[in-house]
Amino acid sequence: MAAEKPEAVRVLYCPICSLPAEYCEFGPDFEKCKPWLVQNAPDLYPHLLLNKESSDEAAAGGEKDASLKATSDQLQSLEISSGDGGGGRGGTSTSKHDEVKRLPGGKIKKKDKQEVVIEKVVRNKRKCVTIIKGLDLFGVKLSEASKKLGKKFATGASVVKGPTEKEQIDVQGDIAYDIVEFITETWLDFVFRFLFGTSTLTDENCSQPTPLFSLQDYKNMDCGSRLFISIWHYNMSLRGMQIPSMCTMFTEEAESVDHRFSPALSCGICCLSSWTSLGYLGDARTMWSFMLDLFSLSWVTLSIVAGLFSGLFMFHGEGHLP
Amino acid sequence: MFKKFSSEDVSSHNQVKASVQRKIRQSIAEEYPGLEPVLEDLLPKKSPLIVAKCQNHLNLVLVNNVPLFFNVRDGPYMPTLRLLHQYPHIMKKLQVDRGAIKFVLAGANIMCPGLTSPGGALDDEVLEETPVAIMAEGKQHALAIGFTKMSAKDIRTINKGIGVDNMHYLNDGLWKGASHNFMVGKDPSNCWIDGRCPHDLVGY
Repeated sequence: MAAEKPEAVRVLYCPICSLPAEYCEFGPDFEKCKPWLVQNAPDLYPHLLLNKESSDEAAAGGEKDASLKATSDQLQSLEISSGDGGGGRGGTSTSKHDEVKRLPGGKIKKKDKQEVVIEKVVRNKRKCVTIIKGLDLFGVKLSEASKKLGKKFATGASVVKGPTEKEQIDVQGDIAYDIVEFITETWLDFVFRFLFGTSTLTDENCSQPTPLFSLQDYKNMDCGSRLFISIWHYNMSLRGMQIPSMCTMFTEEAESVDHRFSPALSCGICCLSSWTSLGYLGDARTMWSFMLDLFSLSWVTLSIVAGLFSGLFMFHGEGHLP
Repeated sequence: MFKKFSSEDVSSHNQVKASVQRKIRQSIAEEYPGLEPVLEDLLPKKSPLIVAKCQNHLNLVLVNNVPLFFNVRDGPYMPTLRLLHQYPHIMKKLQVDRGAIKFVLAGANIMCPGLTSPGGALDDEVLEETPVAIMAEGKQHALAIGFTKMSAKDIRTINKGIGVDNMHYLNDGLWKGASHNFMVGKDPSNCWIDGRCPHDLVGY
Protein backbone atom coordinates (compact mmCIF):
# COMPACT_ATOMS: atom_id res chain seq x y z
CA MET A 1 0.00 0.00 0.00
CA ALA A 2 1.87 3.00 -1.25
CA ALA A 3 -0.81 5.55 -0.43
CA GLU A 4 0.04 8.24 2.05
CA LYS A 5 -2.60 7.31 4.58
CA PRO A 6 -4.62 4.28 3.68
CA GLU A 7 -8.25 4.74 4.54
CA ALA A 8 -9.57 2.30 7.07
CA VAL A 9 -11.95 -0.10 5.42
CA ARG A 10 -15.34 -0.04 7.00
CA VAL A 11 -16.60 -3.52 7.38
CA LEU A 12 -20.25 -4.30 7.77
CA TYR A 13 -20.61 -6.49 10.82
CA CYS A 14 -23.77 -8.35 11.57
CA PRO A 15 -25.05 -7.24 14.97
CA ILE A 16 -26.46 -10.68 15.65
CA CYS A 17 -23.53 -13.00 15.16
CA SER A 18 -20.85 -10.26 15.09
CA LEU A 19 -19.25 -11.69 11.96
CA PRO A 20 -18.78 -9.67 8.80
CA ALA A 21 -22.05 -9.86 6.91
CA GLU A 22 -20.62 -12.09 4.23
CA TYR A 23 -19.70 -14.76 6.77
CA CYS A 24 -23.14 -14.90 8.35
CA GLU A 25 -23.94 -18.01 6.37
CA PHE A 26 -21.14 -19.78 8.21
CA GLY A 27 -22.04 -18.22 11.53
CA PRO A 28 -23.61 -19.87 14.53
CA ASP A 29 -27.16 -18.93 13.67
CA PHE A 30 -27.76 -17.98 10.08
CA GLU A 31 -31.53 -18.12 10.42
CA LYS A 32 -31.56 -15.39 13.00
CA CYS A 33 -29.30 -13.16 10.93
CA LYS A 34 -31.47 -13.43 7.83
CA PRO A 35 -33.91 -10.59 8.51
CA TRP A 36 -31.06 -8.24 9.23
CA LEU A 37 -29.21 -9.33 6.13
CA VAL A 38 -32.25 -8.76 3.96
CA GLN A 39 -32.44 -5.22 5.23
CA ASN A 40 -28.81 -4.27 5.37
CA ALA A 41 -26.86 -6.41 3.01
CA PRO A 42 -29.22 -7.51 0.26
CA ASP A 43 -26.49 -7.61 -2.37
CA LEU A 44 -24.51 -10.23 -0.49
CA TYR A 45 -27.29 -12.76 -0.38
CA PRO A 46 -29.46 -12.17 -3.44
CA HIS A 47 -31.21 -15.49 -3.08
CA LEU A 48 -32.54 -14.50 0.33
CA LEU A 49 -34.20 -11.49 -1.15
CA LEU A 50 -35.77 -13.57 -3.87
CA ASN A 51 -37.14 -16.01 -1.34
CA LYS A 52 -38.64 -13.25 0.67
CA GLU A 53 -40.34 -11.62 -2.30
CA SER A 54 -41.84 -14.87 -3.43
CA SER A 55 -43.11 -15.58 0.03
CA ASP A 56 -44.60 -12.10 0.16
CA GLU A 57 -46.47 -12.73 -3.03
CA ALA A 58 -47.67 -16.05 -1.88
CA ALA A 59 -48.74 -14.58 1.42
CA ALA A 60 -51.72 -12.99 -0.29
CA GLY A 61 -53.03 -16.45 -1.05
CA GLY A 62 -52.11 -19.05 1.51
CA GLU A 63 -52.57 -18.84 5.23
CA LYS A 64 -49.50 -20.92 5.84
CA ASP A 65 -47.31 -18.33 4.25
CA ALA A 66 -49.00 -15.61 6.20
CA SER A 67 -47.97 -17.24 9.43
CA LEU A 68 -44.48 -17.69 8.04
CA LYS A 69 -44.34 -14.03 7.26
CA ALA A 70 -45.60 -13.18 10.68
CA THR A 71 -42.78 -15.08 12.26
CA SER A 72 -40.27 -13.41 10.05
CA ASP A 73 -41.76 -10.05 10.96
CA GLN A 74 -41.46 -11.02 14.56
CA LEU A 75 -37.87 -11.85 14.00
CA GLN A 76 -37.37 -8.48 12.44
CA SER A 77 -38.85 -6.64 15.36
CA LEU A 78 -36.69 -8.74 17.60
CA GLU A 79 -33.68 -7.67 15.65
CA ILE A 80 -34.61 -4.03 15.90
CA SER A 81 -34.99 -4.18 19.63
CA SER A 82 -31.57 -5.73 19.96
CA GLY A 83 -30.07 -3.42 17.37
CA ASP A 84 -30.16 -0.32 19.50
CA GLY A 85 -28.08 -2.00 22.13
CA GLY A 86 -28.49 -0.69 25.64
CA GLY A 87 -31.72 1.14 24.87
CA GLY A 88 -33.64 -1.92 23.75
CA ARG A 89 -34.47 -3.29 27.15
CA GLY A 90 -38.15 -2.60 27.05
CA GLY A 91 -38.96 -5.24 24.48
CA THR A 92 -41.20 -8.20 24.98
CA SER A 93 -40.11 -10.84 27.37
CA THR A 94 -39.20 -13.28 24.63
CA SER A 95 -36.98 -10.84 22.82
CA LYS A 96 -35.28 -9.93 26.04
CA HIS A 97 -34.70 -13.54 26.77
CA ASP A 98 -33.15 -14.08 23.38
CA GLU A 99 -31.01 -11.05 23.71
CA VAL A 100 -29.59 -12.25 26.93
CA LYS A 101 -28.97 -15.63 25.47
CA ARG A 102 -27.12 -14.25 22.53
CA LEU A 103 -24.30 -12.69 24.46
CA PRO A 104 -22.01 -15.47 25.50
CA GLY A 105 -20.34 -14.35 28.67
CA GLY A 106 -21.76 -10.91 28.02
CA LYS A 107 -22.36 -8.30 30.61
CA ILE A 108 -26.11 -8.45 30.77
CA LYS A 109 -26.21 -12.11 31.54
CA LYS A 110 -23.82 -11.73 34.39
CA LYS A 111 -25.77 -8.90 35.88
CA ASP A 112 -28.95 -10.87 35.85
CA LYS A 113 -27.38 -13.81 37.53
CA GLN A 114 -27.69 -13.10 41.20
CA GLU A 115 -25.70 -15.67 42.99
CA VAL A 116 -23.06 -15.95 45.60
CA VAL A 117 -20.10 -17.99 44.54
CA ILE A 118 -17.85 -19.49 47.14
CA GLU A 119 -14.50 -20.73 45.93
CA LYS A 120 -11.56 -22.33 47.59
CA VAL A 121 -8.20 -21.61 46.03
CA VAL A 122 -5.22 -23.61 47.16
CA ARG A 123 -2.09 -21.65 47.66
CA ASN A 124 1.31 -23.10 48.63
CA LYS A 125 -0.03 -26.63 48.73
CA ARG A 126 -1.48 -26.66 52.21
CA LYS A 127 -2.71 -23.14 52.60
CA CYS A 128 -5.76 -21.83 50.96
CA VAL A 129 -7.92 -18.84 50.42
CA THR A 130 -11.70 -18.79 50.32
CA ILE A 131 -13.13 -16.40 47.80
CA ILE A 132 -16.67 -15.11 48.04
CA LYS A 133 -18.10 -13.44 45.00
CA GLY A 134 -21.37 -11.76 44.39
CA LEU A 135 -22.37 -10.68 47.87
CA ASP A 136 -22.58 -7.12 46.64
CA LEU A 137 -25.31 -8.13 44.21
CA PHE A 138 -27.57 -8.60 47.17
CA GLY A 139 -26.83 -5.24 48.63
CA VAL A 140 -24.36 -6.41 51.24
CA LYS A 141 -21.61 -3.94 51.87
CA LEU A 142 -18.39 -5.75 51.11
CA SER A 143 -16.14 -3.83 53.44
CA GLU A 144 -18.47 -4.53 56.35
CA ALA A 145 -18.87 -8.12 55.33
CA SER A 146 -15.13 -8.68 55.18
CA LYS A 147 -14.73 -7.21 58.63
CA LYS A 148 -17.41 -9.47 60.02
CA LEU A 149 -15.89 -12.50 58.38
CA GLY A 150 -12.45 -11.64 59.66
CA LYS A 151 -13.80 -11.31 63.17
CA LYS A 152 -15.82 -14.47 63.06
CA PHE A 153 -13.10 -16.70 61.70
CA ALA A 154 -10.17 -14.83 63.18
CA THR A 155 -8.35 -14.62 59.88
CA GLY A 156 -7.42 -12.00 57.38
CA ALA A 157 -10.31 -11.01 55.16
CA SER A 158 -10.10 -8.36 52.52
CA VAL A 159 -12.00 -6.91 49.63
CA VAL A 160 -10.07 -7.56 46.46
CA LYS A 161 -10.66 -6.64 42.87
CA GLY A 162 -11.29 -9.76 40.86
CA PRO A 163 -10.06 -10.53 37.37
CA THR A 164 -12.96 -8.77 35.71
CA GLU A 165 -12.79 -5.78 38.01
CA LYS A 166 -15.52 -7.18 40.15
CA GLU A 167 -15.00 -6.96 43.82
CA GLN A 168 -14.78 -10.07 45.86
CA ILE A 169 -13.84 -11.00 49.38
CA ASP A 170 -10.75 -13.08 50.04
CA VAL A 171 -10.65 -14.86 53.35
CA GLN A 172 -7.58 -16.70 54.47
CA GLY A 173 -8.03 -20.34 55.31
CA ASP A 174 -10.50 -22.96 54.31
CA ILE A 175 -13.89 -21.88 55.57
CA ALA A 176 -15.94 -22.87 52.57
CA TYR A 177 -18.30 -24.94 54.68
CA ASP A 178 -18.56 -22.74 57.71
CA ILE A 179 -19.18 -19.73 55.62
CA VAL A 180 -22.48 -20.98 54.26
CA GLU A 181 -23.87 -21.15 57.74
CA PHE A 182 -22.42 -17.82 58.60
CA ILE A 183 -23.92 -16.12 55.60
CA THR A 184 -27.36 -17.53 56.20
CA GLU A 185 -27.22 -16.44 59.79
CA THR A 186 -25.79 -13.02 59.30
CA TRP A 187 -27.64 -11.83 56.27
CA LEU A 188 -31.09 -13.19 56.88
CA ASP A 189 -32.20 -10.12 55.12
CA PHE A 190 -30.56 -10.89 51.86
CA VAL A 191 -31.61 -14.51 51.89
CA PHE A 192 -35.09 -13.19 52.38
CA ARG A 193 -34.70 -11.02 49.36
CA PHE A 194 -33.44 -13.92 47.38
CA LEU A 195 -36.35 -16.11 48.36
CA PHE A 196 -39.15 -13.60 48.24
CA GLY A 197 -38.04 -10.95 45.84
CA THR A 198 -39.08 -8.15 48.17
CA SER A 199 -36.56 -5.55 48.97
CA THR A 200 -36.39 -5.38 52.73
CA LEU A 201 -37.48 -7.33 55.71
CA THR A 202 -40.06 -5.34 57.59
CA ASP A 203 -42.93 -6.38 59.77
CA GLU A 204 -45.44 -5.44 57.14
CA ASN A 205 -44.31 -7.71 54.39
CA CYS A 206 -43.25 -10.33 56.87
CA SER A 207 -46.82 -11.03 57.81
CA GLN A 208 -47.97 -12.41 54.50
CA PRO A 209 -45.09 -12.73 52.09
CA THR A 210 -45.24 -15.29 49.36
CA PRO A 211 -42.10 -17.03 48.24
CA LEU A 212 -40.92 -16.72 44.69
CA PHE A 213 -41.17 -20.45 44.34
CA SER A 214 -44.04 -22.83 44.79
CA LEU A 215 -44.14 -26.06 46.70
CA GLN A 216 -43.49 -27.88 43.46
CA ASP A 217 -40.36 -25.86 42.80
CA TYR A 218 -39.25 -26.51 46.29
CA LYS A 219 -39.67 -30.21 45.84
CA ASN A 220 -37.64 -30.10 42.68
CA MET A 221 -34.70 -28.42 44.34
CA ASP A 222 -31.69 -30.43 45.30
CA CYS A 223 -31.42 -31.50 48.90
CA GLY A 224 -28.73 -28.91 49.61
CA SER A 225 -31.00 -26.02 48.69
CA ARG A 226 -33.89 -27.47 50.63
CA LEU A 227 -31.81 -27.89 53.71
CA PHE A 228 -30.48 -24.42 53.24
CA ILE A 229 -33.94 -22.97 53.08
CA SER A 230 -35.21 -24.91 56.05
CA ILE A 231 -32.20 -23.98 58.13
CA TRP A 232 -32.72 -20.42 57.19
CA HIS A 233 -36.34 -20.55 58.13
CA TYR A 234 -35.40 -22.11 61.40
CA ASN A 235 -33.04 -19.24 62.07
CA MET A 236 -35.82 -16.85 61.24
CA SER A 237 -38.27 -18.56 63.53
CA LEU A 238 -35.78 -18.38 66.37
CA ARG A 239 -35.90 -14.67 65.90
CA GLY A 240 -39.65 -14.77 66.08
CA MET A 241 -40.19 -14.19 62.38
CA GLN A 242 -42.01 -17.13 60.93
CA ILE A 243 -43.47 -17.00 57.53
CA PRO A 244 -46.86 -18.72 57.49
CA SER A 245 -46.76 -19.61 53.84
CA MET A 246 -43.45 -21.32 54.30
CA CYS A 247 -44.57 -23.15 57.38
CA THR A 248 -47.43 -24.71 55.53
CA MET A 249 -45.05 -25.52 52.75
CA PHE A 250 -42.73 -27.35 55.04
CA THR A 251 -45.56 -29.21 56.68
CA GLU A 252 -46.92 -30.31 53.35
CA GLU A 253 -43.52 -31.28 52.24
CA ALA A 254 -42.78 -33.25 55.33
CA GLU A 255 -46.01 -35.14 54.87
CA SER A 256 -45.22 -35.98 51.30
CA VAL A 257 -41.70 -37.19 51.89
CA ASP A 258 -41.39 -40.91 51.84
CA HIS A 259 -38.78 -41.86 54.30
CA ARG A 260 -38.45 -45.37 52.98
CA PHE A 261 -36.63 -44.26 49.87
CA SER A 262 -33.90 -42.12 51.26
CA PRO A 263 -34.10 -42.31 55.01
CA ALA A 264 -31.21 -40.06 55.84
CA LEU A 265 -32.25 -37.26 53.55
CA SER A 266 -35.94 -37.29 54.27
CA CYS A 267 -35.33 -37.56 57.98
CA GLY A 268 -33.03 -34.58 57.84
CA ILE A 269 -35.46 -32.50 55.91
CA CYS A 270 -38.47 -33.62 57.86
CA CYS A 271 -36.84 -32.98 61.15
CA LEU A 272 -35.78 -29.55 60.17
CA SER A 273 -38.95 -28.63 58.45
CA SER A 274 -41.34 -30.07 60.98
CA TRP A 275 -39.27 -28.52 63.64
CA THR A 276 -39.45 -25.10 62.10
CA SER A 277 -43.09 -25.33 61.18
CA LEU A 278 -43.99 -26.63 64.61
CA GLY A 279 -41.99 -23.88 66.15
CA TYR A 280 -44.54 -21.68 64.56
CA LEU A 281 -47.55 -23.80 65.35
CA GLY A 282 -46.38 -24.15 68.88
CA ASP A 283 -48.10 -27.41 69.60
CA ALA A 284 -46.08 -30.32 70.91
CA ARG A 285 -48.87 -32.81 70.37
CA THR A 286 -49.01 -32.05 66.70
CA MET A 287 -45.39 -32.85 66.54
CA TRP A 288 -45.93 -36.11 68.29
CA SER A 289 -48.61 -37.33 65.89
CA PHE A 290 -46.57 -35.97 63.11
CA MET A 291 -43.65 -38.14 64.01
CA LEU A 292 -45.95 -41.07 64.41
CA ASP A 293 -47.29 -40.68 60.90
CA LEU A 294 -43.97 -39.95 59.49
CA PHE A 295 -41.79 -42.65 60.85
CA SER A 296 -43.68 -45.85 61.25
CA LEU A 297 -40.78 -46.95 63.36
CA SER A 298 -40.79 -49.04 66.44
CA TRP A 299 -41.98 -47.26 69.54
CA VAL A 300 -38.59 -47.43 71.12
CA THR A 301 -36.85 -45.62 68.32
CA LEU A 302 -39.67 -43.17 68.09
CA SER A 303 -39.60 -42.30 71.70
CA ILE A 304 -35.85 -41.81 71.60
CA VAL A 305 -36.14 -39.57 68.59
CA ALA A 306 -39.06 -37.70 70.03
CA GLY A 307 -37.36 -37.29 73.35
CA LEU A 308 -34.33 -35.92 71.65
CA PHE A 309 -36.40 -33.56 69.66
CA SER A 310 -38.65 -32.33 72.35
CA GLY A 311 -35.52 -31.63 74.36
CA LEU A 312 -34.12 -29.57 71.60
CA PHE A 313 -37.48 -28.06 71.03
CA MET A 314 -37.80 -26.96 74.62
CA PHE A 315 -34.35 -25.61 74.57
CA HIS A 316 -34.73 -23.53 71.44
CA GLY A 317 -38.33 -22.65 71.44
CA GLU A 318 -39.11 -21.52 74.95
CA GLY A 319 -42.32 -19.63 74.98
CA HIS A 320 -43.72 -21.50 72.05
CA LEU A 321 -44.92 -24.39 74.10
CA PRO A 322 -48.48 -24.21 75.39
CA MET B 1 -5.19 -20.86 19.69
CA PHE B 2 -8.06 -18.64 20.74
CA LYS B 3 -10.64 -21.33 20.42
CA LYS B 4 -11.38 -21.12 24.07
CA PHE B 5 -10.37 -17.78 25.34
CA SER B 6 -11.97 -15.60 27.93
CA SER B 7 -11.09 -12.97 30.44
CA GLU B 8 -10.03 -15.70 32.79
CA ASP B 9 -7.12 -16.58 30.59
CA VAL B 10 -5.68 -13.14 31.05
CA SER B 11 -3.29 -13.54 33.91
CA SER B 12 -2.18 -9.94 34.12
CA HIS B 13 -2.50 -6.76 32.19
CA ASN B 14 -0.04 -4.01 32.72
CA GLN B 15 0.75 -0.72 31.22
CA VAL B 16 4.19 -1.20 29.78
CA LYS B 17 7.28 0.92 30.11
CA ALA B 18 7.91 3.50 27.43
CA SER B 19 10.96 1.59 26.28
CA VAL B 20 8.98 -1.60 25.83
CA GLN B 21 6.29 0.35 24.08
CA ARG B 22 8.89 1.70 21.67
CA LYS B 23 10.18 -1.76 21.06
CA ILE B 24 6.74 -3.14 20.31
CA ARG B 25 6.06 -0.25 17.98
CA GLN B 26 9.29 -0.79 16.19
CA SER B 27 8.81 -4.48 15.67
CA ILE B 28 5.28 -3.91 14.41
CA ALA B 29 6.50 -1.23 12.04
CA GLU B 30 9.15 -3.59 10.69
CA GLU B 31 6.72 -6.41 10.33
CA TYR B 32 4.01 -4.40 8.63
CA PRO B 33 5.48 -1.57 6.56
CA GLY B 34 2.04 -1.02 5.06
CA LEU B 35 0.81 0.05 8.44
CA GLU B 36 3.37 2.74 8.96
CA PRO B 37 1.29 5.76 7.89
CA VAL B 38 -1.45 4.91 10.34
CA LEU B 39 0.71 3.51 13.08
CA GLU B 40 0.62 6.77 14.95
CA ASP B 41 -3.15 6.59 15.02
CA LEU B 42 -3.23 2.99 16.08
CA LEU B 43 -0.54 3.10 18.72
CA PRO B 44 -0.23 6.72 19.75
CA LYS B 45 3.11 7.41 21.33
CA LYS B 46 1.55 9.28 24.19
CA SER B 47 -1.35 7.11 25.13
CA PRO B 48 -0.75 4.17 27.42
CA LEU B 49 -0.12 0.83 25.85
CA ILE B 50 -1.32 -2.18 27.79
CA VAL B 51 0.10 -5.63 27.38
CA ALA B 52 -2.07 -8.44 28.64
CA LYS B 53 -0.26 -11.63 29.41
CA CYS B 54 -2.30 -14.73 28.95
CA GLN B 55 -1.95 -18.45 29.21
CA ASN B 56 0.41 -20.26 26.87
CA HIS B 57 2.90 -17.41 26.63
CA LEU B 58 0.47 -15.30 24.74
CA ASN B 59 0.64 -11.51 24.81
CA LEU B 60 -2.07 -9.15 23.72
CA VAL B 61 -1.34 -5.54 22.90
CA LEU B 62 -4.24 -3.34 23.90
CA VAL B 63 -4.88 0.31 23.24
CA ASN B 64 -8.00 1.87 24.76
CA ASN B 65 -9.02 -1.57 25.94
CA VAL B 66 -9.09 -2.86 22.40
CA PRO B 67 -6.81 -5.72 21.49
CA LEU B 68 -4.86 -4.77 18.37
CA PHE B 69 -1.99 -7.21 18.18
CA PHE B 70 -0.96 -10.47 19.71
CA ASN B 71 2.13 -12.61 19.75
CA VAL B 72 3.33 -15.85 21.21
CA ARG B 73 6.50 -15.90 23.28
CA ASP B 74 8.83 -13.61 21.36
CA GLY B 75 7.26 -14.39 18.01
CA PRO B 76 6.13 -11.86 15.45
CA TYR B 77 3.24 -9.58 16.28
CA MET B 78 0.04 -10.38 14.47
CA PRO B 79 -2.90 -8.02 14.08
CA THR B 80 -6.32 -9.02 15.32
CA LEU B 81 -8.92 -9.63 12.66
CA ARG B 82 -10.75 -6.42 13.43
CA LEU B 83 -7.63 -4.51 12.62
CA LEU B 84 -6.87 -6.57 9.57
CA HIS B 85 -10.34 -5.94 8.22
CA GLN B 86 -9.68 -2.24 8.40
CA TYR B 87 -6.29 -2.43 6.78
CA PRO B 88 -6.46 -5.55 4.69
CA HIS B 89 -3.31 -4.95 2.68
CA ILE B 90 -0.80 -5.06 5.46
CA MET B 91 -0.34 -8.81 5.34
CA LYS B 92 0.46 -11.37 2.71
CA LYS B 93 -2.63 -13.25 1.76
CA LEU B 94 -3.46 -16.86 1.17
CA GLN B 95 -6.85 -17.89 -0.05
CA VAL B 96 -8.72 -21.05 0.77
CA ASP B 97 -11.53 -22.58 -1.23
CA ARG B 98 -15.14 -22.34 -0.20
CA GLY B 99 -15.29 -25.80 1.25
CA ALA B 100 -12.63 -24.97 3.78
CA ILE B 101 -14.39 -21.95 5.29
CA LYS B 102 -16.56 -24.00 7.55
CA PHE B 103 -13.61 -25.80 9.05
CA VAL B 104 -11.42 -22.77 9.39
CA LEU B 105 -14.21 -21.01 11.25
CA ALA B 106 -14.36 -23.97 13.59
CA GLY B 107 -10.69 -23.47 14.35
CA ALA B 108 -9.05 -26.03 12.08
CA ASN B 109 -5.56 -25.48 10.77
CA ILE B 110 -5.33 -24.82 7.07
CA MET B 111 -4.44 -27.87 5.02
CA CYS B 112 -2.45 -27.60 1.83
CA PRO B 113 -5.12 -28.96 -0.54
CA GLY B 114 -7.49 -26.18 0.47
CA LEU B 115 -4.94 -23.65 -0.69
CA THR B 116 -3.89 -25.34 -3.92
CA SER B 117 -7.35 -26.26 -5.21
CA PRO B 118 -8.97 -24.07 -7.90
CA GLY B 119 -10.74 -21.95 -5.28
CA GLY B 120 -7.56 -21.25 -3.36
CA ALA B 121 -4.74 -18.87 -4.11
CA LEU B 122 -1.14 -18.70 -3.00
CA ASP B 123 1.28 -15.84 -2.82
CA ASP B 124 4.57 -17.34 -3.89
CA GLU B 125 6.59 -14.92 -1.84
CA VAL B 126 5.33 -16.34 1.42
CA LEU B 127 8.03 -18.10 3.36
CA GLU B 128 7.61 -20.50 6.22
CA GLU B 129 7.02 -19.22 9.73
CA THR B 130 5.39 -15.98 8.71
CA PRO B 131 2.03 -14.56 9.68
CA VAL B 132 -0.46 -14.45 6.85
CA ALA B 133 -4.03 -13.39 6.32
CA ILE B 134 -6.35 -16.21 5.32
CA MET B 135 -8.89 -15.08 2.78
CA ALA B 136 -11.71 -17.15 1.36
CA GLU B 137 -13.02 -17.87 -2.09
CA GLY B 138 -15.67 -15.33 -3.04
CA LYS B 139 -15.30 -13.36 0.17
CA GLN B 140 -13.93 -9.90 0.58
CA HIS B 141 -12.62 -10.02 4.10
CA ALA B 142 -10.13 -12.20 5.86
CA LEU B 143 -11.54 -15.00 7.95
CA ALA B 144 -8.46 -16.00 9.87
CA ILE B 145 -4.90 -15.16 10.68
CA GLY B 146 -2.40 -17.91 10.20
CA PHE B 147 1.20 -18.73 10.75
CA THR B 148 2.75 -20.67 7.89
CA LYS B 149 4.30 -24.02 8.58
CA MET B 150 5.73 -24.38 5.08
CA SER B 151 6.69 -21.90 2.43
CA ALA B 152 4.25 -21.32 -0.39
CA LYS B 153 6.41 -23.34 -2.75
CA ASP B 154 6.43 -26.27 -0.38
CA ILE B 155 2.70 -26.06 0.01
CA ARG B 156 2.39 -26.30 -3.75
CA THR B 157 4.81 -29.20 -4.15
CA ILE B 158 4.04 -31.26 -1.05
CA ASN B 159 0.32 -30.50 -1.08
CA LYS B 160 -0.38 -32.57 1.98
CA GLY B 161 -0.98 -31.92 5.66
CA ILE B 162 -1.05 -28.68 7.57
CA GLY B 163 0.21 -25.74 5.57
CA VAL B 164 -0.75 -22.92 7.88
CA ASP B 165 -1.49 -22.91 11.57
CA ASN B 166 -4.73 -21.20 12.44
CA MET B 167 -3.91 -18.57 15.03
CA HIS B 168 -7.01 -16.44 15.20
CA TYR B 169 -10.28 -16.81 13.30
CA LEU B 170 -13.68 -15.22 13.11
CA ASN B 171 -15.87 -15.83 16.13
CA ASP B 172 -13.16 -17.37 18.27
CA GLY B 173 -12.55 -16.31 21.84
CA LEU B 174 -10.49 -13.28 20.97
CA TRP B 175 -12.99 -12.09 18.38
CA LYS B 176 -15.86 -12.41 20.79
CA GLY B 177 -13.77 -10.83 23.48
CA ALA B 178 -13.18 -7.82 21.31
CA SER B 179 -16.88 -7.69 20.45
CA HIS B 180 -17.97 -7.60 24.02
CA ASN B 181 -14.91 -5.85 25.21
CA PHE B 182 -14.53 -8.23 28.08
CA MET B 183 -10.86 -7.57 28.52
CA VAL B 184 -11.39 -4.71 30.81
CA GLY B 185 -15.13 -4.70 30.50
CA LYS B 186 -16.06 -1.16 31.31
CA ASP B 187 -17.67 0.97 28.75
CA PRO B 188 -20.16 -0.63 26.40
CA SER B 189 -19.80 2.32 24.06
CA ASN B 190 -16.36 0.98 23.24
CA CYS B 191 -18.03 -2.06 21.89
CA TRP B 192 -17.29 -3.07 18.34
CA ILE B 193 -20.46 -4.94 17.86
CA ASP B 194 -22.35 -2.55 15.66
CA GLY B 195 -19.45 -2.29 13.28
CA ARG B 196 -17.91 0.81 14.72
CA CYS B 197 -14.58 0.61 16.33
CA PRO B 198 -13.57 2.83 19.21
CA HIS B 199 -11.17 4.61 16.93
CA ASP B 200 -14.11 5.82 14.92
CA LEU B 201 -15.46 7.39 18.03
CA VAL B 202 -12.17 9.06 18.74
CA GLY B 203 -12.30 10.22 15.16
CA TYR B 204 -9.57 10.05 12.64
